[in-house]
Amino acid sequence: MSARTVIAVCECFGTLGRALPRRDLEAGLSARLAGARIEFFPGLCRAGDLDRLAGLLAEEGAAACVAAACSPFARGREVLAGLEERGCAAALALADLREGCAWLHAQDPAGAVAKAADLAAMARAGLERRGRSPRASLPAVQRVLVVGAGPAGMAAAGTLAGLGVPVTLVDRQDRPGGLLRQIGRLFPDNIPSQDFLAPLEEELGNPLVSFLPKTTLAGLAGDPGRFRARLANGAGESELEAGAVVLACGAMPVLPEGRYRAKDLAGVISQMELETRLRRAEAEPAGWDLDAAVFIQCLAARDAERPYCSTVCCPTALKNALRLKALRQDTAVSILHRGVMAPGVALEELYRRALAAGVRFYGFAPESPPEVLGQGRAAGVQVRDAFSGRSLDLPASLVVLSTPLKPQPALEGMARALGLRLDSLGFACGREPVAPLAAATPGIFVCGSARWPVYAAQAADQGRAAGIKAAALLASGELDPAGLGLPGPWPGTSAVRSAACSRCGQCVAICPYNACRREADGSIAVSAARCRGCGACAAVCPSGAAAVPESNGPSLRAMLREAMGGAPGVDL
Amino acid sequence: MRAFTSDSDPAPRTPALPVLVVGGGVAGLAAALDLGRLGVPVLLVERDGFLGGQVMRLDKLYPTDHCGFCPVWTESAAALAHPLVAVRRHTRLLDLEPPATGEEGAVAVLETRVPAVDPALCVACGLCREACAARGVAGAMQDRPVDRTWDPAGPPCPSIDFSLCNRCGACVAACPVQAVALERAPAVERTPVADVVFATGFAEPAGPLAPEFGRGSHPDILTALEFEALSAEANGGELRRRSNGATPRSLAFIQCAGARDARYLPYCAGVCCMHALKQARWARRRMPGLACAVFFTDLRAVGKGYEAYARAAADEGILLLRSRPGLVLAPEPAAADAPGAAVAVRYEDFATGRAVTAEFDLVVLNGGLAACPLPGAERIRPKEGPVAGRSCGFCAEPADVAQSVVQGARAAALVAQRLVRRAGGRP
Amino acid sequence: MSEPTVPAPRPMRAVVFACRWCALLGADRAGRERLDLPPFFRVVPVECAAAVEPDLVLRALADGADGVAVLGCHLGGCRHNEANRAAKVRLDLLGDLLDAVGLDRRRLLLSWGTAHEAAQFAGLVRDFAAVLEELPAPDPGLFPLRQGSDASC
Repeated sequence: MSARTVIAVCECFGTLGRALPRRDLEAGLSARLAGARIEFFPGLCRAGDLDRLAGLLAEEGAAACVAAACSPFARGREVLAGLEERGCAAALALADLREGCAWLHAQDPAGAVAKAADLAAMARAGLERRGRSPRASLPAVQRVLVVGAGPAGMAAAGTLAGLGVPVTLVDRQDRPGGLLRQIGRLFPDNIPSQDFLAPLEEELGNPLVSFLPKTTLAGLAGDPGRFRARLANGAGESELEAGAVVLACGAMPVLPEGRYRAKDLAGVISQMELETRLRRAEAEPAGWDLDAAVFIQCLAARDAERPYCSTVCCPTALKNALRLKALRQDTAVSILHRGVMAPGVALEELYRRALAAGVRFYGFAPESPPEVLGQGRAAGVQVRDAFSGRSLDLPASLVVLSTPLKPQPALEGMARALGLRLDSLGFACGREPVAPLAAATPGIFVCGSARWPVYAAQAADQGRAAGIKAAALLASGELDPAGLGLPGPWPGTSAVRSAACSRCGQCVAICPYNACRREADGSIAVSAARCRGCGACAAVCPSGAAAVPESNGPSLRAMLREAMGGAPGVDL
Repeated sequence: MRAFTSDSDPAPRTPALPVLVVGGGVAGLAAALDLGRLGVPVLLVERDGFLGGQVMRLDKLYPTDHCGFCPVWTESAAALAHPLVAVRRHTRLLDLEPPATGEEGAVAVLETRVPAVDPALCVACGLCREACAARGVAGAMQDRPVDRTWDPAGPPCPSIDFSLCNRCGACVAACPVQAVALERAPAVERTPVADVVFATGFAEPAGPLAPEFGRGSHPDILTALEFEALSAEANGGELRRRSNGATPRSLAFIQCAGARDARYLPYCAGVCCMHALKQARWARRRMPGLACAVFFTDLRAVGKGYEAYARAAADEGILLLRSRPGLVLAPEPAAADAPGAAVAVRYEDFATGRAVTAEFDLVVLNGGLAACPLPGAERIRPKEGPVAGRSCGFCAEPADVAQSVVQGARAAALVAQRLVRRAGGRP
Repeated sequence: MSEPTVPAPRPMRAVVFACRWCALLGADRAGRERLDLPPFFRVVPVECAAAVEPDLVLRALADGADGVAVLGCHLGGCRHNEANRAAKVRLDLLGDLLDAVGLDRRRLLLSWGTAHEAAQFAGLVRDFAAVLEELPAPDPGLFPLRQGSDASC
């Protein structure tokens, strides 16, 4: 019995015949698919028809089967999945004769039949020449490295440990907490930051967490499931193997420098300095006698140099304005803003509380910023109110400047080591919008202010989100290369045939995943853990050495010939 | 799942009961996929016939400018394909009952209303529509779902418009896979679940909200989602006014219409400023001569890349006016017959301090977005604790797509940690 | 020596490389909407537009295609970490090459994220058909190995 390729044609319960008349279709297919066994089925997605086809494939001993049915977005993929479930060993391909042919060309049955025959022939030609990528499981080291122990990193580490995954948490400071250590209370409910940190610290007490203080990430090598991180501390460098890495190194505040006379007037301070003063005053309120304070928002933000809104400054100003009012009700507090950025339920409610407490709000236009007045120490602020157009003189002995958060200087190097893209502002990027914390390389995650300025609760949410994703990746102990990438049928992975490889390195340059790599001896190898089968390397390789077996050159070229009606052509 | 092993029982176990995820929008999908990939069985229930929620109804997304369904359908397909995620569409959570004594979790009361054409069985062959065209009432069978949203993760199933259907039954008889039934009783079942994640999202509340904005008083005064539908109908071409089908020359977006207003919705819905900018930019991309104005109170563009998006909108000639209009007037009925009768928007121009009336062919009211309820939330055990966090996405707090998927994962993480603790997992 | 035969006029044919993310979705939607299109094109699904090398395009033309379309995702929306940007650079250059050899760059149609909706895919296909019909037949000397060509090799 010869092992003919089987072409299983689904008639979609007779409706395919409206545009592709059965007799004409059969004749067209027979003409174009010489040597194949052509069988018609009433409804191939039904269990009965699938059973029959599976039996037919077994009986025929077929090595290949084309399901000429509906679109992969309809039931086409289910047909292939149904055959796989029934243990079919044959290589399978789908030809879309419905959405891709019958439903588009009902007005031209002759043309539609010719196209249907071509589509089936294309699928068969591609199928018979395509290969199969090896699908060996990759080891998944049961440890995650979390870089940065602010609220995001703490939440990530706590989540991982809570899910049974050993985690190494490093921070360049000597204890966790990050910027939160410098902040006394958090919006929207004015809770002490210690109350927010305490449960996170408790989670870090899990024996699965290993916290390494005064340690930074010096470099990263290896592949998803088995990264090799170089960690540096005072004593030198050490290597750590990790299945996944979470970057949570946070951001840092821009300093006011000399803006708004911060350097030459006493009483002109940053928000961070206000935090320190408020903490002292809240502990010891007796000596506090502030008569008037003015907050100036959007300092060094939303301008040409930093064209972004830093998210946290308005809620911080609202929170601190309320704290000033709580210390002394009759302090005149004004916030000069370019829009009060308090979106959502909780923050809008914070804004209303500030209004109810008597905080005044004045909007100013970026072209006419406020002016701080005083000699030796701050005396007041002059501002042109954008709504009334009038110039206002606000007496103030305390002027608080809100500055944005900016990326840590170390972020660029770490992002490069991790293969994380940076946006034009220097913040790290995931895959917006549905995978904002995931890098293109599986197993690399970013969370917290390293990605974009966020406040404590958001940072912790992102840390937990990164934590569960890293845990899920390593959950089964092994990585299936097919499971690492985008949802959908696995496109396979690339491989480079060393005999044909000229080592030009073009594949290395173009690979979007850093999967094609130059080895120490100069040869090119492809990491199965990183490769996502996009085919860019194969397209750029001048010698055909790089190829993804499922979509190799011969199969694509054969499909092209069949697309032209089966011109024999010459395979050069 | 490795987390459920212990020294006495090292073989990985899968928890016996699933976690219920209520809502198959982007937040629910994120929660379901993270739990499933971790090894926790999930029961994902979605009220509509498709996964992806409100994002599927969005013509485009900010700040990426991708189509709404594009990034989401792969998540939907992944959820449908995952062996540990059971997806029940056309299913609502009616209520949660307390679990049996001594247990934790809840009993979910679920109602499934399969539509007349069951998408789980339908193969979209079209025989039902042919039969209806021959023997039924014209227009009774539509070639797409009732809410007109194609689900790319399934076949293009038809639907029945029961306001026209004469119940002749021709479609039922014609269907080769018994997917059609004219009478389907809703099925209610009770199923125990280990825990619950709420991801029910948001909806535009019914009713006019603040009457001064004229919602519902004229076809050319639309809500945000109505404008999305209008945009999608235009299918990449020109928009059409709903009143007379003419091409609009001007378009206004009014932010905080009924929101940030103690009389109606006191809060800020968080996403509308960016949403309006996206709608305005896309409208002008498709119709370069269209005059677009956005009336805002605070232009809240705080997320990653959002301020740059807002600046691009201004650079592209979209008028950004800081002003909350006091009145939106539909044209008088008599004048409405006259071609081109426009909607009047009355606002204060802060530059001059004067009240100004401007006319627009289309007016979009933004801000009216309300969280959907969380049925039975108070009956889950254990009750709220320091790491409760069961709700995620817009139903918890106004959130955009990126925030919603993060919160979905966060809810999944907290639920999973609780399950591990309950199972006495190591350690 | 036999009489040189005049090759029979071939029906117009185009190959459409469609990435299986945005582009294939547009083609599927056009089918769902039952939009009426001329059947001159054949879709070849690829994992990413970056997998389409210029050699494949030239082979398609050599095999008898009147035109080749490459449909990928929006720039900035590529599922494969922006690989479509590299594809765009390469294929734009290929357009220059086509002009240089006298084949006309309009035989190569590139679309980045504009064909993911039904009407857009259909419009793109119809416009392409109109463009290809207008183009003069290429110099047969460019394709000496095409069947039916009377050039010998």
